Amino acid sequence: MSDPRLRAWLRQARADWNAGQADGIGPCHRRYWLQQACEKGIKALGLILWRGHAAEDGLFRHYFLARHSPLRHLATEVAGDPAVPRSLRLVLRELQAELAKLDGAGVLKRVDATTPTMDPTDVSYRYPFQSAEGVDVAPIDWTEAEWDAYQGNAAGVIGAIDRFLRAVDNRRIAARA
Amino acid sequence: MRECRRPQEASEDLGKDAHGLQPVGPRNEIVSTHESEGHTAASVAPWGAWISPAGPRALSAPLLERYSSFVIPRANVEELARAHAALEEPTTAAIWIHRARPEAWLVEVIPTMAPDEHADEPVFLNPGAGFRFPLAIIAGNRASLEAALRRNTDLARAVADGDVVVDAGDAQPLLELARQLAA
Repeated sequence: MSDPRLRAWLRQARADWNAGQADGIGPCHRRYWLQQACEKGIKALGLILWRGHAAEDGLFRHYFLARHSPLRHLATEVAGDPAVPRSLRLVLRELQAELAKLDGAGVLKRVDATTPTMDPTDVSYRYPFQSAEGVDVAPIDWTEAEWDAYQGNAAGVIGAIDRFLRAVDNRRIAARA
Repeated sequence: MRECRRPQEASEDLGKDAHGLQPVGPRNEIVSTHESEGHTAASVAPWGAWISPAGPRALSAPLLERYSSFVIPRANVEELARAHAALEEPTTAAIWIHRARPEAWLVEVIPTMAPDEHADEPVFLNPGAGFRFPLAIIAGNRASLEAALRRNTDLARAVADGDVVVDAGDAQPLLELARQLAA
């Protein structure tokens, strides 16, 4: 993994995290940027861990880097796909183990599972969706309490992602030393 | 499996220190092979450790013991293996092999893995933010790993000499099979 590429992922993750702290934005936008920061941080950690054969780099990009909610995607949608190499499956396990150590409360895993979606019945940060009662909801209508129930307590999410991004960046720096 | 480079090629690229040890390069493409044990897998130390150009086996036993315990504490390996055992698709056996090597080599039984004729081929991972050592994982379901031990007597010997760090029922039978095959 080239350091400039990894740094670019981490810079963007941190920029997304900062965007999630901006004043005057709706809770849905705040939560969207936090989800994006978490996703990019997980991908950065995946890039650090990955040492698969060069021939498998394309599969790593396809199944991991190019996906929303990369952990959930790997664990569910591609789990039974024989085309997924063992190296990718073991990277997923290692990512899960790393997150369990870095974030014992499971906040990051929960945020990872809140994928931006176009499905009208799924909660979305960006697009109108239908509530469980069949009511059309604009994400901007949801209260902080509703977002807390969906993504997790805002302060907890902000803190968990901040710590996570710092840990990943520290690993990057240590690898260069 | 990653392409291997022979030790002499690696030593042409990198200087040695006063003790005859060579640094692992910044992108860590330096390699020690383990052909004395029948392995040709690349051993890479991305966190910048120092390894003998001839591989850890070239060190004297007491020094080797001290070196390996300095490089990867057992507690860290055990913690990692326990984390794997706590995953949704848990590891039910983890045996730490090649303990003198700069990577943590784990043989792991993961019952949910599909049958694999190449289960004895390690997957290499770089150090992470939690577990800060490089990893080499040989993983498969128990039947695949048992078949791998029967095929690969070097692996059987390594497992027979290994250290069980997680056993939820699959480690001891695997260890006993390895000992039979290695005898």
